[in-house]
Amino acid sequence: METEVLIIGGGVTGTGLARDLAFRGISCIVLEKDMINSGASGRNHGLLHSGARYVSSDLVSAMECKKEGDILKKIAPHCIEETGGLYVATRNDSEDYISLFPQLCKKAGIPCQELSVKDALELEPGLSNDIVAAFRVEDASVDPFHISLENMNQAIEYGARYFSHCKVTKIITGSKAIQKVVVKDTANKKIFDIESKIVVNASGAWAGEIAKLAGIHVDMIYSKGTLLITHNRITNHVINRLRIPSDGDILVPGGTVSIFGTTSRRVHTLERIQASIEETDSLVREAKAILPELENTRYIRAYAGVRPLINEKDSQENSSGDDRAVSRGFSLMDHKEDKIDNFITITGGKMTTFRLMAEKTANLVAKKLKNTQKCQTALRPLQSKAPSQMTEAGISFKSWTKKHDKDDIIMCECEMISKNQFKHLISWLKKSKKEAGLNALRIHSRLGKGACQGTFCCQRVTGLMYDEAYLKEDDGIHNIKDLLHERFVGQRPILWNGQLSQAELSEALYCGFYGLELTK
Amino acid sequence: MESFQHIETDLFIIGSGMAGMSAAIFAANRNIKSVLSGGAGGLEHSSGLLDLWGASLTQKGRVTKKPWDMLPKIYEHMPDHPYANLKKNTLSKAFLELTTSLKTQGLTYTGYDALNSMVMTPFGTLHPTYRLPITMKSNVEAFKKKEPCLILDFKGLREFSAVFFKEVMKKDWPGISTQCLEFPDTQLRPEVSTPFLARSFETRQVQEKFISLVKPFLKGKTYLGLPAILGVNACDKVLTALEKELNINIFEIPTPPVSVPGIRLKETMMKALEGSSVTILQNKRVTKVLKASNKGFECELGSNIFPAIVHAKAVLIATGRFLGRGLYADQKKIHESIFDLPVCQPKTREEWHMPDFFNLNGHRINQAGIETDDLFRPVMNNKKPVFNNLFASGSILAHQDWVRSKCGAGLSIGTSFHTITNFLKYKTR
Ligand SMILES: Cc1cc2nc3c(=O)[nH]c(=O)nc-3n(C[C@H](O)[C@H](O)[C@H](O)COP(=O)(O)OP(=O)(O)OC[C@H]3O[C@@H](n4cnc5c(N)ncnc54)[C@H](O)[C@@H]3O)c2cc1C
Ligand SMILES: Cc1cc2nc3c(=O)[nH]c(=O)nc-3n(C[C@H](O)[C@H](O)[C@H](O)COP(=O)(O)OP(=O)(O)OC[C@H]3O[C@@H](n4cnc5c(N)ncnc54)[C@H](O)[C@@H]3O)c2cc1C
Repeated sequence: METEVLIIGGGVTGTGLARDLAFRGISCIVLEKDMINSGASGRNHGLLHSGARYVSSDLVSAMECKKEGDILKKIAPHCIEETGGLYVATRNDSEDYISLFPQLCKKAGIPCQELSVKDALELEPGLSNDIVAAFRVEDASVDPFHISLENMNQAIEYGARYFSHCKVTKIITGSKAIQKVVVKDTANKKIFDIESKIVVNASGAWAGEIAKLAGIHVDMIYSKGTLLITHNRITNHVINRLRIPSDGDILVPGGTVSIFGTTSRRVHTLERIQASIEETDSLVREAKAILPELENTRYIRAYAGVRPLINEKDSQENSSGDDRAVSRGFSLMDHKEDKIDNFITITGGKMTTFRLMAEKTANLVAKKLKNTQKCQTALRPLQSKAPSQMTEAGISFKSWTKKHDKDDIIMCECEMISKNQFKHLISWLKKSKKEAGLNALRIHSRLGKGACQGTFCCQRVTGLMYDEAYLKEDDGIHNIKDLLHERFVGQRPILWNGQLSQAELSEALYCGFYGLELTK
Repeated sequence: MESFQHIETDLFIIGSGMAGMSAAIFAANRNIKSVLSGGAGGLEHSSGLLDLWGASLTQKGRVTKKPWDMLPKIYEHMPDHPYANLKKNTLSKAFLELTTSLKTQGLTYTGYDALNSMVMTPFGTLHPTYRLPITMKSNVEAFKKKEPCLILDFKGLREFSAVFFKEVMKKDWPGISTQCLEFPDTQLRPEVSTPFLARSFETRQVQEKFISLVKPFLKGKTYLGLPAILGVNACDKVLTALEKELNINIFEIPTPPVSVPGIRLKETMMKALEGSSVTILQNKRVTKVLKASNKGFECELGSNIFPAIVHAKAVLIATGRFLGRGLYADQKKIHESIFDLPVCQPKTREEWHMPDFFNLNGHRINQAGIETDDLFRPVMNNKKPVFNNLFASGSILAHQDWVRSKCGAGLSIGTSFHTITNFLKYKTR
C-alpha cells in the first residue's frame, strides 16, 4: 500500500490532521490500533476550555484555547453546547489567587465577569452556600467522539483512508528516511506494510513508543486522570474550582449527564489504564466543597485517560512533582533534526487546540511535499454527511421527537435512541464497511452509555442487528459479552448505592439467567 | 397527624419476592396468622424457572444435570452455604409443596424427576433448571429431538429476535426456520410488550386470529416456539387450546424482564393466598422499626394514604439484596436496610468485585449478606441470634451466590420452607 502521508493515531489530532491534509488535496491514511478515540480523545472531560484554567501556569496555552475555542464554536456548533462556565472559590482556597484571577484573564484576553455569590447561586442553585467568589467565563461542553468522527468522515469524503484495528508494529528506516511502516491488523492478524512519503506520529501518549520504533527518543510523561459520570445533569454551566489546578476541580455538563474530575497520577505504563476506587473516592471527597450534591448523587461510570505530556528538558517546573505544572502546550517535532527527514511527531496539547495542532503539522507536511495550498480547516464547517450526531447525550431524543415516525420505537430508553436510528446507523456502517457489531454502534451512538449501561438495550440492539443480517451465528453472544465487560470495567469503581442494584440486575440476567459466563 | 391502621399478627413476612411469597404460601398452608408486605423485587424480573442447583461443583464452568448429587458436595465444601443447613428431604418437600399450590391455581410446573432440564433461552444458551412451567416442556424436548421447528417473533416486540435464536442454534440444529408476525390487533401499536401480548392471548378472539395467521407456516414442522406470552393467568389453558387446534407441539422461550413467567408466578401466588391466614399489604414498605425485642416487633409501614403499624410476635425478613433493597451499600460498607443487622462482607470496596465481569468464581460481594443460626435467625458477631423471633430467608443470606450456582428460586423456597416449618416448632415451644 502506498500513500503520501501516513498518520499514526486516530484521536482528535490524527483525524483533525487527516481533514486538514485532505482539504489541501494531499492523500493520507490514518491508522488506529483500536478504534476512533480509543486514547485520550475518548477519555477526557469534554471541556472546550475558555483558557481561564491556564492563565496562571501557561499564558500561551491559555490564549491558544481562547482562539481555538472561538473557531470551533463557529465551524462545529453542532458538536458544542455553549454552556458558559463558572469559576467558584471556597473559604479554603487561596485569596491571592482569587484576586489575581480576573487580572490574569484580562492579560490573556479571556472574557471573565465577576459575579456576586448571590447571582452565582441563582444561576446554579446546586453550588455550595459556602462559596466566597465567582466569575463567569466562556467555557463550553464538546462531544469529543462527534468531533473526531466528523473529522475522519469529512476527510474520507475528500479522499483520505482510515483503518481501524491496525497497529503500527515496526518502522523500517533507511538512510535519512523511513522506508516503510509495518502494520498488524489485530482483527484478522494479517501483517502488511505501507510506503509513504511522510509519516506523522500523532499517537498521543504513545508518541514515545512510536518514535522509539524509528530509533528516536521522545521523553513522555504519563499523567493519568480519572473522571466520573453522574446519572443526571447536575448543573447547566461548566463549574471550575477557582484555585491552583488540583484534584476534583471541574464539572462539565454533557447532554443529560455531567462529568466530574479529574485526578492527576503519574503512571509508568500505558497498559491497563483504568479508574481506581482510590481515585474515585478522592474525587467524591473533593466534590462536596463546591457541589454538595455530588456526595450523594448516583454515578454511572468512571473512566481514565492518560494525558500526553512532553518532558521538556529545559523546563524545571516538573521537579515539583505535580504533572499539572508540565506545559499543556503541544510539541511539533521535525525529526529531520534526528536525521530522519520524512518523520514528524505531534503530541501534547489539548483537545481544544487540536485544529491548531493539525494546522501547524499540515503546514510542515505541505512544505516538505512542496504543496502550496493553504489551511482551510478554520473556515469550512466541520460537518460530514455521516450519521455521527448520535454520539451526543440527549441528541437522539431530540431528533426522534422531531421526526415523529409513528412506526418507530425506542430501543434504548436511557438515551432515547430509536429503532430507525439504529437501522440507519447499521446500514451506514455496512455500506462504509466499518467495524461490525455492538461496539461499533456504541462508538457511533450513545448505546450503553446511560444509566442501565447496556443491560436492557444491548440485547435488543443485538436482536436488531441479527434481523438486519448484520450479525451471524454466535457473533451476538460475543458482542454482548464484550460490551458488558467493557461497561463493567467502567462501573466497578462506582458500584455502590443505585448503580450497584443496576449491576446486580445485569449479572442476574446475563449470568443467572442466560449463563453467559459459561459460554466460550 | 396521620392516623395509623394497627394490625396484629403472629408472623410478619417482609418482602414479596420469591422468598417472601413462598414463605407466605407455606404459612397459609399451615394456617399461621401472618402479614405479608413488599413491593417489586427480583420475582417480576425472573424467568419463571425454578432452579435448584445448576452449576457443576466438580467441573468448573460446566452445568450439572444432577442437582441432588451436588448436595453432599455443598455439605462438605461449602459448610456456610444456606443449603448446608437443609436436608435433601426438606428441599424436595419445599419444591413439591410450592408447585402443588401453584397447580391448584392453574399454573402447572413440570420436570424430569430428580434431574435438571435444559431450557433454551433467547440467546440459544441452555439454562439448567429443576422445575419449569408446563408451557416450556416442549422447549426442552425440542432441543433434544432437533426436529423441524418454527420460531416466531412479533413486530414491535423488542425482547426477542427469532433470527438471533436461529443463528446461534443453526450449527447443531439446522431445522429451525423463523417468521416475524404482526400480533393480532396490534396494527396501531408500534411497540408491544410481553405482558400486553400475554394478556391479549387469553381472549378467544385473539387466539383464533393467531391460529389462522400462523397456520400457513407450520407445514412439515413438529415444533412451534415463541417468546413466553401464552397468557398470564391461564397459560395452561391457552397452551392446550392452541396445541389442539394447530396440531403441533408448542413451547415458550423465557424472555428477559419484564418477564411474563415471573409475573405469572407472582400473580398465582397472590391468588393462592386469597382467603387464607395471610393478610397482604401490597406495595407497602417497612419504613421504620418502632420496637424490637424477643417479645415482639412493631413496624411502621409508610404510605401517604394508609400508613400502618404491624405488631408481630415474630418477623421474617425476605427483603432480597441490592435490587430488592434488603441490603444497601454506601461507598464504604454494606448495610441491612430494616434492622441494621450485621452484614458479613469483605473488608474494603476493592474486594467487592473482580476485575472481570464474567469470571467464573463470581464476585465476592455476592457472598455478602446476613449470617444466621440453623433456624435461619440472623446472628450477632458472637453467633448468638439477634432476636429469638427474627428470621431471614432468600437471597439476603450470606455465603451463597445464586447467580453463579443457578439456585435462585431453590434458595428462596428452601430457606423459607425451613423457616416456616421451624417457626411452628418455635411457636409451640
Ligand atoms: C483525564 C483527561 C482529561 C482531559 N480533559 C480535557 C478537556 O476537558 N479539554 C481538552 O481540551 N483536553 C482535555 N484533555 C486532553 C486531550 O484529551 C488530549 O490532549 C487529546 O485528546 C489528545 O489527542 P491525540 O489525538 O493527540 O491523542 P489520543 O487521543 O491519545 O490518540 C492517539 C491514538 O493513537 C493510537 N495509537 C497508539 N499507538 C498506536 C500504534 N502503534 N498504531 C496505531 N495507533 C496507535 C491510540 O490508540 C490513540 O487512539 C484531557 C486529557 C485527559 C487524560
Ligand atoms: C433478572 C433475573 C433473572 C432471574 N432468573 C432466575 C432463574 O432463571 N431461575 C431462578 O431460579 N431464579 C431466577 N431469579 C432469582 C429469583 O427470582 C429471586 O430473585 C431470588 O430467588 C431472590 O429472591 P428474594 O425473594 O430473596 O429477593 P427479591 O426477589 O429481591 O425480593 C425482595 C422483596 O423484598 C421487598 N422489600 C425490600 N425492602 C423492603 C421493606 N423495607 N419493606 C417491605 N418490603 C421490602 C421488595 O420489595 C421485594 O418484594 C432471577 C432474578 C432476576 C433478577
